[in-house]
Amino acid sequence: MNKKLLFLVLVFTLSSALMYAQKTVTGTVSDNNGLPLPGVNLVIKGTTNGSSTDFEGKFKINTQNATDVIVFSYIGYKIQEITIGNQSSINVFLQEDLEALEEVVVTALGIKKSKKALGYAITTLQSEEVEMRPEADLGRTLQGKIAGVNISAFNGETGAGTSIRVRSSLSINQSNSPLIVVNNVPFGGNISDIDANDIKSISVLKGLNASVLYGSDGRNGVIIIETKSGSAVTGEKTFKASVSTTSYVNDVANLPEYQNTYGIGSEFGYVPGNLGNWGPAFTDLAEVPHPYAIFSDIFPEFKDKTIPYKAVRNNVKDFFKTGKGNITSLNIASTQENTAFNLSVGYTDEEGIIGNNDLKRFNLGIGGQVKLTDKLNVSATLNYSTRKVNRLQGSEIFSLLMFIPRDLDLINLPYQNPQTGASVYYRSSQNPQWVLNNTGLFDDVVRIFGTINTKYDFTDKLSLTHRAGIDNDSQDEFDYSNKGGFGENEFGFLDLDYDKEVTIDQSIILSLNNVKLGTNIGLDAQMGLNSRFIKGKSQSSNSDNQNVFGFLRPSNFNTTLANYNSYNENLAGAFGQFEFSYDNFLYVTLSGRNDWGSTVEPENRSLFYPGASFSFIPTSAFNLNSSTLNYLKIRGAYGTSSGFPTRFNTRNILETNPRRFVAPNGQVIITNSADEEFANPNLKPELHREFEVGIESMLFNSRVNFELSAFKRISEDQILGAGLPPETGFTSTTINAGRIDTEGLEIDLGIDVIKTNNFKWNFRNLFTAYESLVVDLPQNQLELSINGETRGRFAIEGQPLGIMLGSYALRDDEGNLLINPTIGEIYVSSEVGKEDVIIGDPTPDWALTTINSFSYKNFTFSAQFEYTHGGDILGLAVQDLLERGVTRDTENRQGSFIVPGVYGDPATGEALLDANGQKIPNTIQQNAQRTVFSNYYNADEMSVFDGSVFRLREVSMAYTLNKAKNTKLPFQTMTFSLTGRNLWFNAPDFPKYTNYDPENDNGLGAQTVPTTKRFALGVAITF
Amino acid sequence: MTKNIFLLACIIMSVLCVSCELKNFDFQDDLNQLTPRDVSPDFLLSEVQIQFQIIMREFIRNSDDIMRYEAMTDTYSDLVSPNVLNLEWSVLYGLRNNVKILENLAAQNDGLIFHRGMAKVLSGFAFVSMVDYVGNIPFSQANNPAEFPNPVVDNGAAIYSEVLADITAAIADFNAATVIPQTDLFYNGDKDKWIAFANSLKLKLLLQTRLVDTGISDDINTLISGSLINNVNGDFQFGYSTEVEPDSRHFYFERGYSTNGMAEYIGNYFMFMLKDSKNVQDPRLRYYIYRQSNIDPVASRFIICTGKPEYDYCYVGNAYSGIDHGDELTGRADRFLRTIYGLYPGGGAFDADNFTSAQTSKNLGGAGILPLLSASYVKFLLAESALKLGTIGDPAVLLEQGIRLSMEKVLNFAPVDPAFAATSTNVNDYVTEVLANYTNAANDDEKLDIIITESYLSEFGNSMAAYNAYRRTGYPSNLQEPIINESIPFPRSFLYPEDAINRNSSLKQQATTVQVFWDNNPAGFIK
Repeated sequence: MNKKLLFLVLVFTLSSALMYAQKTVTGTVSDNNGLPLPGVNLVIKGTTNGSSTDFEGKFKINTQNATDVIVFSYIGYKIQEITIGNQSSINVFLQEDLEALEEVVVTALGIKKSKKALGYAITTLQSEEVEMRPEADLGRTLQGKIAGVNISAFNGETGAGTSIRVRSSLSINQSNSPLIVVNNVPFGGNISDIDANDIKSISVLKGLNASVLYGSDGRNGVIIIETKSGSAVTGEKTFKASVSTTSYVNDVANLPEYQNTYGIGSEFGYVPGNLGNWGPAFTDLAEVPHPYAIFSDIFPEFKDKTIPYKAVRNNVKDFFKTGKGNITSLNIASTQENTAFNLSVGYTDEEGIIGNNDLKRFNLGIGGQVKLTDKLNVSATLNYSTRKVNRLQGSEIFSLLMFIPRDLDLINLPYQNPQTGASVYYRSSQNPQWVLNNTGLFDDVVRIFGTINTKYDFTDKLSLTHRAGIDNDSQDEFDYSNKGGFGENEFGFLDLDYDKEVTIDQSIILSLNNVKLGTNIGLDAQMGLNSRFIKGKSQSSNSDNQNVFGFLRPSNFNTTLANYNSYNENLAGAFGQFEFSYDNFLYVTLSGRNDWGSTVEPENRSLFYPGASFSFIPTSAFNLNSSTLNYLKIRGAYGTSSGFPTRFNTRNILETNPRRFVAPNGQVIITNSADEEFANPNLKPELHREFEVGIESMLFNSRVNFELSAFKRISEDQILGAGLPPETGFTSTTINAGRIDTEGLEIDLGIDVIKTNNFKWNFRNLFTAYESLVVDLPQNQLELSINGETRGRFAIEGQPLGIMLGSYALRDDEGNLLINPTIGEIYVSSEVGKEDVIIGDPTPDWALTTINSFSYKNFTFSAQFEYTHGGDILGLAVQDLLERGVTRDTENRQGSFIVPGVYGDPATGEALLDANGQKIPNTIQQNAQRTVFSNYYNADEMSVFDGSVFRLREVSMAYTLNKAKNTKLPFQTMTFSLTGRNLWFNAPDFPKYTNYDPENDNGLGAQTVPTTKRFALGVAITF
Repeated sequence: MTKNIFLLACIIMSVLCVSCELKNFDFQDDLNQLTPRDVSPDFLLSEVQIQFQIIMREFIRNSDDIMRYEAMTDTYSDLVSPNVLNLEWSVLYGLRNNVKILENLAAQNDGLIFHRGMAKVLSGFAFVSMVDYVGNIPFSQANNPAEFPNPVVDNGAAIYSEVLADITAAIADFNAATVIPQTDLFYNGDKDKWIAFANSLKLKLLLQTRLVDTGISDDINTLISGSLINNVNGDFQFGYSTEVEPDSRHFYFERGYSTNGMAEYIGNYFMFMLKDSKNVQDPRLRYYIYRQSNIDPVASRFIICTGKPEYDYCYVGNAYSGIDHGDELTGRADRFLRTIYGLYPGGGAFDADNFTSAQTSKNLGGAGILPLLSASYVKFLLAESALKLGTIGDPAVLLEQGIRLSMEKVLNFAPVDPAFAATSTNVNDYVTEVLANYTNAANDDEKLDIIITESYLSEFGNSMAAYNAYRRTGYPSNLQEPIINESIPFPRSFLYPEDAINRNSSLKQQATTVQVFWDNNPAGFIK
């Protein structure tokens, strides 16, 4: 394949290499600072005879006669024309053209606009910022790269998702995930279904004004992705091909540093089967019974066997392995005058750091464009992707795994009963190896996503576009456990799910471009209709009670219940956007949209929401341009949006259960019951409003780029899944109530510190800060659900959204811990009947990303460094490590310890006083175990850590070979890259040796699959 | 140009041809669910029975360790904290929703009055039980969210009266009914048994209020002359099976016999009472309690209590490995070694000195029962009533009947190894000793102590009865006090569940020392 391609390329190259010569003119092109400009285009006016400058800015061009005019053009500089006359050597100085620097960006619904006209914030990333990274998931690659966008990975497992929040969370318990738009059509899938190497550009619309044309779907921000395969453009005859491959390794990043002095047991005594690691020192005991000696019926070989009592240093580390990954992509683009064609193929194969965890993804994208007539243009894309993920059902095993006793040789012990297959372990919990090998979750997602774009130009000012997208997503899930585990795994289960969802999204847009309303006033306008229709269905079966161990088909289970669901959802909108410009320095845009949604009753279906924005460019208005201040823009926007509720909340249903209970006589009891959820027929969409102001500026000969946005957002009539007092006979309903206000600041500051011909150093900083306050709530507090689970996060009126509640240690008025005078332990509020209080705010105060990029000739280097400030974490995983005595933090354990504090009375909450009226300091000595375990960390408050973290997110190096410099190369460019991800982090508030990564468990503080660090080697060739 | 217009027309047509569907916004009905119109009265009544079972089971689970059957491993505050009753509370009012639907259906259909009777009695029993645990609870304003989004509480006494009236109405329904329900998990449609149970339930409610309501003797005498549960066949109980999906096994079995072993402990006090409190060992011991091993838990360091003065029992001997009331030092790796629930009532294993772990034992697979109102309990109630109120009957005779009915039930629960089965001689010896103690008792208080203690030992598996009796009488007088945290008072009531407190603005949390309306005993009289 590659050889053929090469041949093809050679043919193309040779065929264009015809030359003829009369007179040769040479010279140098440089900028107004005298720095040479490579790659400047030269053409003899009125001919196709051209050339370009080399790396030192030098050129050579053949001319026919003295009246020839050479046109010098270079992006970002003013075009210069020079008549040759009798010169044979010309030195040219090009002037920077600030007007030409105008960036054109893709905005809502694919409308391309000059960035200076926008009244809102938009961030655009180019392909080089995301391609050839060692992540199967595009979401992870984007971490930290966009101001105002927070991306957190659930854990380090291959195939585990990410949660993306643009300008934090808008809604208390509706979805807060941004809309993903691929090739201008909303995309229902996961961002990890997109091949990062097929990306041409990514734009992020952050505010409500920016996304108003997307309606309620765009309220959480919009990520607009243009793929290479979707960006074929007719015009010149070209052929381009590129192929890249990235191989990477994936290693566990944050294992604790373990102590190897003490082993299993309690109070320095050996206790077999114990969960704690407070036993005797390894030097104090020679031999202990084999941990499986108690299973002599299963393993006769271990009967009465003893083993040396010693540390198994790598017993946790060996549970993990080095994952490997490979991403290969091929892109081909061919364009003719009236047709264009793109093809991209990608294959990703990644193995995780734990057993039975891998991902395989295949992407195929085809795009084309046909210019049928001068006025009619049709383009289409078709993407086919499959994603197969094999992973753990949950990550509970990791909490126990991280603190197994230091002497337990986990990996070399059998994990299942050779006769029955049941889990065997040194104590009564599931062997983590058994869980890895006997349970699992396979996901098989197939997605076909096609778009058709038809554009008809009535005149050069009026056009009509029809855009249709079909997104067909089918997902097969295979979720199982063999029998022989604990809890729901005791009898084994097999849950099969097949879901199919088809989304048809259509828009008709009538566009007016460049209409002059007066000498200085221009109008651009779009009016249109949009429809988004979703049809879905799912089939599922739940089988329980496995018969033959290890066989996973419903026929091998005693009971199987099957289900079928289908649904339709319809959302339509009519919108308009009118942008008035005045003399290219003032832009005012008015927009509005009306939505009709099918998830509410007829009287609440329609909602209109308007928006307005302005952009003012003082540098153009007052001719302020100087070499200090090159460009200044001030913008402001007001936007609104709706949020329609999820399906089926407005009408009561009847619960039915075909298998509620089995009576002693074997009768299967079927039941009907009033539903616990009280339907709310008056439910209406949420309303969100946002004010945004911003400054964009370029300074010091455009060496400094500065962009700032500040916003305030008010989200009212929040749709809440509210708990009803159960006394009403119902436990929940869905209501409109509540208000959240969010304020935020985003800064993007880029500086070209050094910019010479060969060496460039760009220093870019992204700063993001938010605060979301719950202003109004219909009830005292509301426990939030995070990915379908309640994890101790609450909405409380007057408090930041997502606050943590928990128990606390009693203290006197001076803040001393109150100590129980009989046992010397702290008093925990919950144990003396006191209500939980706020123990932390998990939302970070601010985050900063610094990216330094260097380029020297063909060599580039960049490093992305991040700091997150604040954000509390209830570190239950850390608490476990300390309480079980496994890390070096608790290695120093000889002697006795005293919990600092004064004796107190839990009834009064005050310190006890001695005969002299003085507080009595605690003097009760305890051993290390009693001090830490079931004492100091018993109150939740004591396990709250500050989540501030420094992180080296990404380092990448690349070297490019260029045909322009080395004509012997059989291709245009060849790039070698070396990338490392998540190379280092430091969370200073966490106990030193726990090495806990605050990003683990999505910031919720439990132990999941640890985060990973990755190294990649990539090669990319373009032809 | 014509070509262009043609193409344009095609596009517009393609949009229009789907637009008929695109204009449809009527997708509010969830086609995947039944609507309330589709309800089947029989299936609804089945749900009421299952909900009733859940409520009673959870109450019993909650008071097992308060009443020392199971060892308490934390404090009284934890046992009655606001997160304890959430499930029972929501299921109780959910049950009442279903009962209301059934009542509406029965109002138009005479074929459903047996259904209505059952629903009323079950709902009534569940509601008075909630009163017994919590005190004043929402009732008259409950189950009407449109009118009363924040229902206020009603006095417990008023709820008792309403339930008594409902039971009377239910008896009338049973008498009048001609159609029996498709599924009756209690008496398989036997009217007479339902009526005897309904009367016995009335007796229970009346006697429970004897401290605050002096005019109940006549009512009780009327009940005695009518039909009450008087043999084990008429016992009101809920039966479980061995099915694991859905889990239809007794919760004692789930606790003791699952692959992860038993996390709880049997209380040392209860084992001591069965084993050593009398000269004659309780014949029910091997039926109630199963020993997984013959290890000595103290010697094996599974319980570290030697020489510690706060322990009363530490280890009761003979490999009965439990812990003292309130011992917090748990979590040793002895889940497959410690003593667990036996054959009765959880459907586990009979203790024939097997000393094998629960899972490898010969057991009933969880097909146990939830004893809710048995003939033996009725006799103990009548004994107390005869002794304290002078109602019909000889307390000593009733006491003996109570013990013998319990023995009959437990000893015949399932076939057991005859070498270890209790004999009638064992039972007679036991009865003789108890009756001798009763005759020798110095006064009525000591006599009542004996009646309640025997009732306590019979009501294993129904700690609701024991919890009510303890607060009403203060007996058994020798119940073990918590070995640590003695200052935390005994819960005279449970706290309101947090779901209710958080969501109902009319509801204020109470203290655990609040006494239920029928409890006028002094504060702190029990520990």
